[in-house]
Amino acid sequence: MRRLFAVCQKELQAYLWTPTTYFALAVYMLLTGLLFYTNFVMYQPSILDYRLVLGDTLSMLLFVVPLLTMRLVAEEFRQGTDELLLTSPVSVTEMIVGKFLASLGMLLILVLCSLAYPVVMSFYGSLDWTLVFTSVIGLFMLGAAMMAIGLFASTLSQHQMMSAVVSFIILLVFWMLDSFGGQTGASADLQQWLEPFSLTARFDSFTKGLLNGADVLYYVTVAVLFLLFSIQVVERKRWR
Amino acid sequence: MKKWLGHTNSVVLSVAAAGIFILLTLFLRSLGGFQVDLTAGKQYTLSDQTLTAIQGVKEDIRLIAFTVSTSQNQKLNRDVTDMLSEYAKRNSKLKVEQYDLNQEPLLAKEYGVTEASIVLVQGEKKRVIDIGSLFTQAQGSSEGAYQFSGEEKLTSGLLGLSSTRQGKVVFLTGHEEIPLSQMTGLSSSLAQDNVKTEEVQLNQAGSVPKDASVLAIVGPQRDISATELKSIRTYLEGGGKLFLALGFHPNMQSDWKNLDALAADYGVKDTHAIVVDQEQTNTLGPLFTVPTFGSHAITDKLAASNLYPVLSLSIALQAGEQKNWKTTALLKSSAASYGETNIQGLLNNETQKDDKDPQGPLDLGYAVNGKDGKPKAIILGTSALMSDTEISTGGNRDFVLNSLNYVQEQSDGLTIRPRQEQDYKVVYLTPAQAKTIMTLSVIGLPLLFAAAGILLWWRRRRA
Repeated sequence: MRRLFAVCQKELQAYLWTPTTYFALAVYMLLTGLLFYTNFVMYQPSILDYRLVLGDTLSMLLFVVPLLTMRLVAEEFRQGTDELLLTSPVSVTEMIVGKFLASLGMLLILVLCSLAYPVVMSFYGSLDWTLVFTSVIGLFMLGAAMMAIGLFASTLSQHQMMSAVVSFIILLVFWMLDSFGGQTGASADLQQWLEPFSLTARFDSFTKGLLNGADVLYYVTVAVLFLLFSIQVVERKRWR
Repeated sequence: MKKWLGHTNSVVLSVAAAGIFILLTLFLRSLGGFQVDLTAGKQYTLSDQTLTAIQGVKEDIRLIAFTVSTSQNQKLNRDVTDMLSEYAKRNSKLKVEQYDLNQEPLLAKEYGVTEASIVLVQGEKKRVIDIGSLFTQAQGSSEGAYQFSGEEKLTSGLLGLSSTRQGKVVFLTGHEEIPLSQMTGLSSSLAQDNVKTEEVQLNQAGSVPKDASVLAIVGPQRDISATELKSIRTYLEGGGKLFLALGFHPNMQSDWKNLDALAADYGVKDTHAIVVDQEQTNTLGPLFTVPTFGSHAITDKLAASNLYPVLSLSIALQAGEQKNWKTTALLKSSAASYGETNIQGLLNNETQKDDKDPQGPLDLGYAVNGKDGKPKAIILGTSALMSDTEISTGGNRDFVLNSLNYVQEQSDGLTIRPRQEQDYKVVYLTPAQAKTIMTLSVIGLPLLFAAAGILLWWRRRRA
């Protein structure tokens, strides 16, 4: 456990001392800020409902998460420090989970930054804070699952950009699973099967003020699954 | 060999984990209702009746929402789609589809839909629920509040779709009763419960149709003839059921001999006194009564949900001793009320209690059961609550539907309390406020992070 936290601490420091992190956050805040402005201010009267703003800003995670996770393992491969890690007392599981926890630290910062928007809205009228609270929990859980996918993509290549592209593609597929198929006939059945695996469809409950057990567990299992995949990919290197 | 084993282990473990993930996700989906509802009014907590109805669905049902999107009704559309998704979460046999009515006119036409509606389709059977009827203005609450009775209507629709029962309420005409054309709200609600409605004129038909599950006489202005009374008695003696709702008429004391005789068959006496209630009334005045309920299967659920009917110009009834029938009071006026027997005086706005006037509380309606406990009749001293102009007021619709379901021995008539919802809170921003928000959210915050990044890059470059 101590070694796990040591990895986590090192990664967090790496995050906080990398300019890329701040540029990624700046891009995220710029894009979400623009969407917030468009939704809340451009159309008058302004509607005091965080759900309407969050819906649009959510898609920004698709771009920011790959940027924040692409370096995690790919950089170790590129610099050759993976050899050191694999021969050190730190197990692969500890390494992967430690890096994941560090990415959750970054996610927490991202989510806290997103809270700026409901705070701004609350200056102009009373907001339903229960909905904000559950939405933020949902945002964190969705982000955590996405970070695990990003981490997995980072284990697949030593090139950061390649990792980011793979991460984006996997995330996009999971994101749009509920849009495949149609509303009638065989395609509707296909959609019925795919929808439970969609990252976005699971998010709706949180924005409504619901903590749905199935949705919470879905995000947890996605994270666990991709962490396990990441561990297996890194372990494969040991057998090479 | 060791390498090969390592790879195989890795692949097997990954495939097993993916398999478990897929199965677990599909299994958890079946536990859709496993959730904590943190909303203020427990908006997404469905009633027991609804959960039972959803679990009872064994064949696929398509829940097709045809919505019309305007900037004003975004919230209302969201209420509808949120509700549908809560239903679908709990049974995979319920499949939600949503279309914009204006973009899919041909599809809407296929289902006979011309305005925003929810269509429930199961095989060849279908039910249409008008979305507009799900929303009513909330009375006496804050601005922007409204009542949403989607759960009641949708659950009722689900039950109706799976139900094989087919009732038929026959409405008597020919005595200036309230015609079905003025009770379309009631007819459509009955149709949702698979109950047909039709009018019959006994002078022409000769007898009450044999397949009628109830004979309804609603607000007659003229007395029925002796021949008609005989036909009605024949129908009732043959196992028929009666729903008699009297309405105000200036000459009821002298003119309603046969109608009174029909009520008297079941131990109910028409006092011909109009209830004047200063206590349990609404803002329209003392001739409008908001009654309390007597304890009965028809009224208990309504009382628990605080759904009371609003009655106008009601006639006080009295239950006498009867060997064959048991009468139970359903509606009562307040103790402060009285029954005005001077109808001419009442018409001239003179409503003063005198010795002839019975003192409240007065009974305004009865359920009549036979010795075997089976329902036989509902006799009410009021009828205007069934008309289109009053059916949506208070708990009128629920009370009438519960009564008709009860007398037909159909106990799955539903009353689910509508939810109080709040429309979007809106605010008009001044240009200065808009500028502040722009500066803070679009420029300030991103710039802060960008500056931190540049500073770090510059320091690392120097170091």
